[in-house]
Amino acid sequence: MPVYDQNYRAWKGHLMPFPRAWWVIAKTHIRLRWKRGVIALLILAAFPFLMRALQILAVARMEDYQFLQQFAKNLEIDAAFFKDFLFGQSFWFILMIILTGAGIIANDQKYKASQLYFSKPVTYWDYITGKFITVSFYSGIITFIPAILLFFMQLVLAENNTFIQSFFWIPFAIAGFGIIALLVFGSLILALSAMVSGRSAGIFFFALLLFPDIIRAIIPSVPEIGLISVSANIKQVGSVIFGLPKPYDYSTWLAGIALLVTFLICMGILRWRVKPSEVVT
Amino acid sequence: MHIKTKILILKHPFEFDVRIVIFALDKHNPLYSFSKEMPLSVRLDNFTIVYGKTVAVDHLTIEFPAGATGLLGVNGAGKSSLIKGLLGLVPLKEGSATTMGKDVVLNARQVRQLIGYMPEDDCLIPGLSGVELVRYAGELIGMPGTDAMQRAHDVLFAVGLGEARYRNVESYSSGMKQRVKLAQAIVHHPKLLFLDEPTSGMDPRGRQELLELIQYISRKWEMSIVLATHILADVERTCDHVVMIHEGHALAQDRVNDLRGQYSNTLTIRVEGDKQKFQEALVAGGCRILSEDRQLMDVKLPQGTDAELILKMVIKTGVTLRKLVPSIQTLEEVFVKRVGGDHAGV
Repeated sequence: MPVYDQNYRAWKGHLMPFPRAWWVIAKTHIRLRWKRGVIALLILAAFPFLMRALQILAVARMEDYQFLQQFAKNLEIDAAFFKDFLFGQSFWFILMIILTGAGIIANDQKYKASQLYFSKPVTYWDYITGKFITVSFYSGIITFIPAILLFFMQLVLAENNTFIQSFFWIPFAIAGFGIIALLVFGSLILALSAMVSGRSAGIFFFALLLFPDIIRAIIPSVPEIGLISVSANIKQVGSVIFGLPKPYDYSTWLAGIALLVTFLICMGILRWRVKPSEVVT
Repeated sequence: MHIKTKILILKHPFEFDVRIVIFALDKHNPLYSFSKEMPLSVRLDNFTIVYGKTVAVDHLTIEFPAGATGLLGVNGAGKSSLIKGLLGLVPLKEGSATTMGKDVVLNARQVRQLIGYMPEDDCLIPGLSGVELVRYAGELIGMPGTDAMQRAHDVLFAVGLGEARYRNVESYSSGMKQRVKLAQAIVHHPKLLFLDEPTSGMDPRGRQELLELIQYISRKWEMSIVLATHILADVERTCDHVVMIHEGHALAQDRVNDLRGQYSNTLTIRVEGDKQKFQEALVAGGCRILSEDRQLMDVKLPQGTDAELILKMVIKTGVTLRKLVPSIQTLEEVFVKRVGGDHAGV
């Protein structure tokens, strides 16, 4: 008997008629990206969370500990607290998106792995959703998940019902803001990853966030110039979601429309670039 | 007599469609002449794939019977495009195709579940080990996770990568990459397997081993195989049937032995002198001139005769015989003959 037949048995099982390929793609890539760089970034990004957790603890327990009163008497846990935490995490958020998303489609195109997916019952949306969930998982784990945890920590440590009565909507605001930020930044990195190599996608992503802000800083007299900045538009929309004054002097609706246009352009690029097979004529 | 099906799709105002399958007996369709005793695995009808202005597959009407079929053609002949069209990886411009009785456009996802595909390109996912890649492929097809993992081990042993299954795929040699691609294609034990240039980039020993394995898969594991390659010896060795394509057209489709047999008892001749008179004598003697150019001609002898008939004609017509050799011995020669004869200059 040949060596290749010694252990071989025909598989007699049943295939799932509608396999959840997006979930298979997401869980495999989440596992695949669990590498040293990502772990280091997770640890670094956890420090602001710990500081904020300490702040909540200090505010809740300042009557028990005299020395805490010096620090905590001016610290208030409100909507701005959560917004500031999320905005403060944006640096780690962007780094995480680059680290986990820059090569996520580019590598498939480099190794022509698209055929591996699309020769199986995997649809375009399965593929994009799986990749998007991978990027969202790691980005969300350092931003929106800790924000929700902080909310529940405050809820547990609060002495009365005042906090929940005033800020019951905070988890929804965090989720809403999270969805908008992930859709825009996630689609942006996926689109870049589909267009250029992994390394270049990271550089372009960083440049696309940086240069509009530089232009905005150079021409402060025209506030509408902020519409070209994805990060400014996100902050503008985010502040309104948290019921806080808008940071820039232009319409929040326009900021929202700019974000929507960015998302749609990215989806268009993905549709154009993600093909089952490279056509060589 | 064969049963021909037609599907009519009626659009319902509430967005679901009603499919009416019409069965009809089709006695005379020339498509069905190829496979007499074996069920068909793939059938193409007027199958056309166009990339921009380039016609990759041009109104191809062929069929692949069950068993191992070689899809033979030079680089750029349209082999890979044909397979990709069958998988729905590239859109059809015209025509239709069925794989194991299912329309490749209407039932694209179902068809992809039924077949295995080993692509020509590397198609590997860096960072995954061999066993993870094969398991991943199994899960994408729709296998439960535990089954996919178990099968990944089994098929990797089967293709000879048992020892290397925990190594990352990017560290594999060319031969190992081909094997892992084959493993991911057979993880769900498909009834039909498309292999696109499976021996590409392999050393002679590895190539020989892989061909043996492919042959084994086809014969013992009862998987039908479509082997797309430009290496004629690979087809001769592993396949029972062959479909030759060139520039998107079908040149020939038959059993390998029958195709070679078409050219048995055929001689290549070169004569000097009154060539016209010699040819007339050949035809009068029952010979058939298959092809000719300025110097050479291929002549099919009548049944029960041999080269002696040619010698008699030479003496009779007074020409000088310069060359007299058997015309075709290998599939390669059949292919060259077909490309040069039927499609020269196309």
